[in-house]
Amino acid sequence: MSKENNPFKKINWSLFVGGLLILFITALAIWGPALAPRDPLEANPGPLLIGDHWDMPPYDPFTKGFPLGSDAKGRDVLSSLLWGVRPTLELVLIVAGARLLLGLTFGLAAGWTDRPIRKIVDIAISGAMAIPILLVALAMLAKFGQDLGSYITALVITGWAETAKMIQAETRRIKKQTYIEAAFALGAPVRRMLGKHVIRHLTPLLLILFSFEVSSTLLTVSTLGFLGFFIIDKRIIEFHREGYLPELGQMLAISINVPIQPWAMVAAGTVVFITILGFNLVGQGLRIRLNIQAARRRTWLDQWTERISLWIEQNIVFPIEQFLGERVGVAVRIILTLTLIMLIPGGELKQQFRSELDIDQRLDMNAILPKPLDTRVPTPAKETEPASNKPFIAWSFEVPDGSPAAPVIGVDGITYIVSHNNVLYALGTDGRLIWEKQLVPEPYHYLQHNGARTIIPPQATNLNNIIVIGEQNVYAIDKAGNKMWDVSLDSPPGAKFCCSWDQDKEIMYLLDESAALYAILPDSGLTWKYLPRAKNVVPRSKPVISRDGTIYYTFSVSSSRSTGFGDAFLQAVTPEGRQLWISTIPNSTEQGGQQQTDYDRIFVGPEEELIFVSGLIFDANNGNLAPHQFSDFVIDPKTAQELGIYDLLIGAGDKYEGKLTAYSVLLFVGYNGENYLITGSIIFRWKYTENGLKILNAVNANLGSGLGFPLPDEIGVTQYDLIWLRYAPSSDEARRFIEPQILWIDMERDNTFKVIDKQGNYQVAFDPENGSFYFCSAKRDPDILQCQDFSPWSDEPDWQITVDGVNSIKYGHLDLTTGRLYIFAKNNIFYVIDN
Amino acid sequence: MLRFTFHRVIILLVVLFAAHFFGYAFTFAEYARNLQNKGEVVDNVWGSYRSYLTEMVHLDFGSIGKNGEKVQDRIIRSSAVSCGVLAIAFIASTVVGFVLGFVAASTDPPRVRTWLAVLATIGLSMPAFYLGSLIMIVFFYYLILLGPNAKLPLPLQGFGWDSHLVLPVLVLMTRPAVQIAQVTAEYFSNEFGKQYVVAARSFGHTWRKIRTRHALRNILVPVVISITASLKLLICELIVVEWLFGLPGLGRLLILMLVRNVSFLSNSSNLLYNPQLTSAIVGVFAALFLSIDFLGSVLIYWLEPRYRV
Repeated sequence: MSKENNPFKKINWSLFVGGLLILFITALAIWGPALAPRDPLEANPGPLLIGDHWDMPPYDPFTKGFPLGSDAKGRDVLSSLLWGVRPTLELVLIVAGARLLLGLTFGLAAGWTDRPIRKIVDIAISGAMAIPILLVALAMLAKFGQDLGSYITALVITGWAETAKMIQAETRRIKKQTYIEAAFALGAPVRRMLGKHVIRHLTPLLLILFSFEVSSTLLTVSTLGFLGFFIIDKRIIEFHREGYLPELGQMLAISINVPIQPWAMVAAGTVVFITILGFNLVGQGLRIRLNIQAARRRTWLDQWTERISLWIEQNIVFPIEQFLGERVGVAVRIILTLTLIMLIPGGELKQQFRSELDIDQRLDMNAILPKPLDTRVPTPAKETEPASNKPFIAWSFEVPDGSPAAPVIGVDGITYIVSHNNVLYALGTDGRLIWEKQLVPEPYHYLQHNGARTIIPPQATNLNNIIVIGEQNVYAIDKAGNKMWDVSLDSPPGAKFCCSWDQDKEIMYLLDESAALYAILPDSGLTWKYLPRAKNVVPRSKPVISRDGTIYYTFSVSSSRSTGFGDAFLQAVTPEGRQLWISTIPNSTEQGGQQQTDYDRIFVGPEEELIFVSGLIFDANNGNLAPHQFSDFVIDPKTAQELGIYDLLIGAGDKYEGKLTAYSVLLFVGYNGENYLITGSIIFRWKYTENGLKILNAVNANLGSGLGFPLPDEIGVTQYDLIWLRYAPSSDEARRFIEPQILWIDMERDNTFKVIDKQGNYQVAFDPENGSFYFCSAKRDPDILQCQDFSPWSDEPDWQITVDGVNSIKYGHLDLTTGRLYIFAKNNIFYVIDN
Repeated sequence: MLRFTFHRVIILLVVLFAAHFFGYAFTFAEYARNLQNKGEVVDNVWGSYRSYLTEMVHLDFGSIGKNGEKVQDRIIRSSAVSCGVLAIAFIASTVVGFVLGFVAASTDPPRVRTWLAVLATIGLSMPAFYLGSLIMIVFFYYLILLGPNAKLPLPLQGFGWDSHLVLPVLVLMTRPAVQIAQVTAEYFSNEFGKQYVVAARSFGHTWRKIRTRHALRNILVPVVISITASLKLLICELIVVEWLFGLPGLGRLLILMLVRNVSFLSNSSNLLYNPQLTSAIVGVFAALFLSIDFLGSVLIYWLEPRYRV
């Protein structure tokens, strides 16, 4: 055989390259945490001085101190990666080992035994092979998930089949060999034949299979990680996109949400790819090298390996077996092997994960990183250790001169507060003051109905900058506190109707007091301006943006602003800033100096073909009133009786004829994408058809006088089809008519549940997704602030927290992205509650 | 042949029924618990399944949530997307894989060319999500580079029977294609080392004739087995690809249905723990798998005379 054609004369590139890759990954797993330059859990909200400018997270790769960049919270990707390889590899090795063991057991059983056991095991193997691992794993995790045992079981339960099939075939081949026949003839027991002959001959195959098992397991683990299942502190969290402890699957899971910050995904994905590639190459290389069918050239490594093995066998194992007996000898052999495995990586793989974050071994990054612009914290952050699932005050911050408006939370979790003296404070996720900036020009101040002076709060953008709305201009401040651009306004902004964002938070729409519409991009400022065709117009609603980008808003015209409102209009503007149509709202002319109806509640219908303005329905295509309106709405007496609302549809002593004459109506769209209307205390689910409004369902909130009842202050429908209403009467007179309360109504089951707010609690936040309410109230003597979370159908709070020394609340806010409750007390202290 | 086919069809039907029942039972406990909490009387799983079967006979497969959307409508809509994407990816991967394998099998000496070995090793080691994400990131930077008015050459998200399919199919077909190519090339090169090929060469047959007339017939069975396996691989990858590119197919529906907290990302509340929907999805997946298995085994039985003996 020529040298060229002899495979054993050539370098086994697969084994060589694969071995190098595995050595690299193993080294990362063992020494990675010690090499990590930072604590992987340490958030670094910044700012960081890079060259001559300040930068905020996420930092790009090759930033000083962040070689692979950072995530949105400033956590170092390189450190996460160095910490993340170990738990992933541990898990993968455990799963691959378990699969191999199961595969060996089933394969031996199927290959060695005869019918009927062989047939049964064969069917089990074929069945397991037929079911895709990923589907089974997903189903098991969905059903039994949340713990590591389920996770490993899900990965092992069918993954062994391929291995078993190969071992079965090889066992059958070995079983036919003459030495097995000889052993059988000499009366050797099956156990001995399997142990001494079959498994020994299977060893090369097992090594190959183990390599492929590891790569296959890692592929499944990383795919599950990508789909949202990953290890967190020895638990599995499904679809929890916020990462905690670093792990490759977790890094992948988080990254899918932030394509503009792909560093973590690229880094983790590359490590996964390299590891799979390494194990695949080693598997292929071993297949060539350990090919027992081929004649083998004995290299010096083979010769020495054989010599050492022989010496161990003759001088250690054999004497022990002779002295202690065969069984104990086998046990000693296993213990020796395990000890070797433990000794080689120095026991590193057994280290506990979180508890070993040894900051002292790392570089002192404080020496490298610049100090924040101003580390002065007016009141030191008070941090309470969280109990399990108990709310706690994550941090608090005192704004020296108080704040006129609610805080704004950026997409990166940074909190922005404007003080009465127009200072903008940027606070990190841990409450640390990042920077403060005097806002010049100051934000626009206006008077509320109750006479309180407030401002239009700054707007957080998806680019982590802040847009400040002043009286004559709008400007942006970047995440480091520098001014970016400035846009002049023709008139002051429209107070409470000022601003809205499109669905992707890419464009902000601003209405000024003369109903001019400005489209503003976070990074570059004004993109277009739409001027109303009439003079002396006043905005009556916020701009509402449909999914196709069309902007709708209402405004009123008056010959003189002091004389009150004239006709009201519904305006539609294209995403390019051109008029789509304008439509008069019928019967909207002022009567007695007051507009008859508020036109500030605009909803775009679920199909985007209809626009609802209070009780009116417009065609979204041309702005005409839809052929069918609520005024045509007929509900026949029989149906009314069936729905149990007959008595509510009529006044005292009247006879109901089928026509509704409502005092006030609100048509709205639920979070579940369905049409609803409320008139009085009756709520209808409806559908717009060619023949009119078709009632699908109705429910009475059981508040009393049916149609004459005032509309709630807030109403909505959760994605779980649960209707919620909130009544918050502001005066004592109004309280006599209805108590402050919240209601949950299940329309399908005609089931109502209410929580009466007898203590006059101040409702601070609402989660429209699942219908939870967060109440906070403060009392005097003793001064206590109490916050509670109510789930739907519960009059007992899910949790509550009390804070001493606070006797009044200014306002509160729930941020769904961070899941935190932000409370601003009147003592100018800002509390952040986390659970 | 008939007996074999009949035997396989019976097994297919039994397993399909079992899978359908399993799908129903899988979410029934949660579903029943929810109903019981609301004070409703619920039959046991078998009784409930029997009622469901009776409704199925009348072509009523149940409804999803309170919107009243019919399960069969949703399943047909999602299956059309998934099966369409699968079919295109399957044909593409088979053709590309086979052509690559055909080209990569060198005749003298008989071996697999190095470029395919490298390509196959890299391709098989690259998870679909990684490849897909890399493509998305490249496109993203393309947009950043050319500004907000730039148009992407291919859409990254959404579904349509047009250019929307290019990237999902590309990501989906990569691993199966290299797998088929590897198997084809390996078996071809094995055949080229056999005596009958030497004999054929000595008779003056061209390599083209040997490849197509003799070697191809001998390797068809393992290649068909590999294609069948690749189709199963495709179905698993489909879940990830549908999730990544936002295709409204069965895989995405499965994720939306199985995972409770996914509703944080998308409105799936109506899909959670719906036994009718689960059984339908499991049924469709099982039918796909079993049909592939059935067609593969019938094809192998037909191609390989030794099985018929």
